[in-house]
Amino acid sequence: MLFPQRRFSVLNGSRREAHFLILCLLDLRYPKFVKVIEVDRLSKDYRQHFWLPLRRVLNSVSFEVKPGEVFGFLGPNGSGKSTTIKILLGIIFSSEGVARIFGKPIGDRESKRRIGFLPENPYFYEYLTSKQFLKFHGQLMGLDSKTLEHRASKVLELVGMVGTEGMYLRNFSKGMLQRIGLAQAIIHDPDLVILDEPMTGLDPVGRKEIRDLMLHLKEQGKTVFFSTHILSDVETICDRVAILNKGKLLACGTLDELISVDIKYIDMVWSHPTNELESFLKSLDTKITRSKETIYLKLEPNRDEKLKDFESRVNSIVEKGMNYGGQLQSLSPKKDSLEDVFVKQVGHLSSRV
Amino acid sequence: MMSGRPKHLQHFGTIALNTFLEARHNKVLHIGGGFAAALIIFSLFMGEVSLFQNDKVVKDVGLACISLFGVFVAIFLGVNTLYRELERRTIYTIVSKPIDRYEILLGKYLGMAIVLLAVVVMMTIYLYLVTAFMEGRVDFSLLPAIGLIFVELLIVAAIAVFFSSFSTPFLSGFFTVGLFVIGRVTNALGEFGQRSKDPLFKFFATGIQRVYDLKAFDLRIHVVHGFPIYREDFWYPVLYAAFLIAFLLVLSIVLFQRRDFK
Repeated sequence: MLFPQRRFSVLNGSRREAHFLILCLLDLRYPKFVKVIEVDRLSKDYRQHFWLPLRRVLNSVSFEVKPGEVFGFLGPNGSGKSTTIKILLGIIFSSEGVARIFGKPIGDRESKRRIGFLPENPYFYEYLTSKQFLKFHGQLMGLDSKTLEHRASKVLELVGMVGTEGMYLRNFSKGMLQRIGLAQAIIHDPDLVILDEPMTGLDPVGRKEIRDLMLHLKEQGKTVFFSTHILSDVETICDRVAILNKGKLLACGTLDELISVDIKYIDMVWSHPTNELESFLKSLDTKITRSKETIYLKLEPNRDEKLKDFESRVNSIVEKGMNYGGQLQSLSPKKDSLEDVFVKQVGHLSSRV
Repeated sequence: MMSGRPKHLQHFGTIALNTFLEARHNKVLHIGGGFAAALIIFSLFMGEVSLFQNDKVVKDVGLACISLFGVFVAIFLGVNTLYRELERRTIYTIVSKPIDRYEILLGKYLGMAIVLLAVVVMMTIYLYLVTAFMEGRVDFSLLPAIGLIFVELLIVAAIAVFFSSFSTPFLSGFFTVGLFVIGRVTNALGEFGQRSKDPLFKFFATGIQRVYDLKAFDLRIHVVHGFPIYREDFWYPVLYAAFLIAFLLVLSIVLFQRRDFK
């Protein structure tokens, strides 16, 4: 259901709504200017016990999620990711700030109807079979029995669980539970899918399956919001990410915006080096590593050196090296990865406690 | 396509059915039921040592077993079902659905009521089989007493749900048992107060009995010994139970609505 569930009153003279309707008709999709999730200065204070003081676990966090994007919510354990998700779903209440989903306040029944959710480390009723489990969640979503039957078969196929209809959840492996959890999250064909640490505890194959499923949802125009600390997953599938630590939002944007385009250093490997080449490379103000048949060196740009100048310097080194009879085996420029950005933002492990 | 049935009814029904299924798979309840059934059989032997009172002993012990096992189930389910949803975090997926918290709580209560009804019906059939074996007939005069036992169980379940809406199972169980015991002795306290010369104690003791008296649900002596049961002996307690349960559930909903599910 990509078309917005709104009632328009063109005839009663509301110009703004008429304008909205025209835009929707032109786009034939959910309009881009309507945010799926809007979080504005959200804070949460917890009290561990009634005699202990309040502790702020989420501190004035603001971000937005646009329609149709895969949004990664990054952060170490205890950074406030799950707290944010719980607030968005009405599981807990915020202490300060506002959040909206599909432009409506948290807890609105209509917007909840368009959300699918998979919690972290899900535990499901082990006395139910997978079909009974999907029926339970489908009925809570208000699906009628005919639609439910059709959707149950479809989502089981989508998550690769066909044939498990009669199996009790107590016999499911961790990966199977995760997949059936995902199936209940999409049983009602939601516009927004929220996944809390969906890759936790899965083997590489299971992770890939979940990743593929998220990409499939994106292809269908769904918005996917998921929290994780597995950075490779984020780099592969996310359009935008937010980094959270100690309850504060450190960065938010597209991967290109967060990851620097500048070259950090260059790895250079020479094979069958001659003595002249070795003397030349040693004369450079850089560390070299000599093995039997290769020389490895790491070239870093000098402070205040422009990218263009650094590239010229590298070219000149390559040219001279070849003149000294060397064979260039590889030359690989290294840029900041998401991991570098994450570590830079989040800092050392000790500073996270 | 969304279901045409009213959403609230569908939600109550779905949650209640799930609560019933969960209870059906609970081993503790199976063991408790087996123990209660064994006790009813044992009452046959207890009857043998009484002086021509076999049938009365069996009926008395049988009704007491229905009541005690019912109270055990009401407290066990009442303090555990909500807590389990929170502890295992299954509540997260339910709350994220278009369902209000009061629907979850009332659905849970409805599920417990169905379980209690099933327990009472099964134990009643069992008791009737035993008495039929002994007397060679079915004594329908036990039914009003069994009916009020069921109503009393609904009150106990509502008390347990009330406490579990904001507390741990241990404390909820402790408070519920406490309130159940108090409810069973307020009648004696009231009678004691009537005879007291201290006006303050008299006011206090009779006042408590008027507000909260679970002994009113005990018609065991009446049915076992064949004392007459008047219409008000049955319907007044039922009416009182309806008010008390409604009051407790409203309080529970108010607390549950504001709770953070950490």
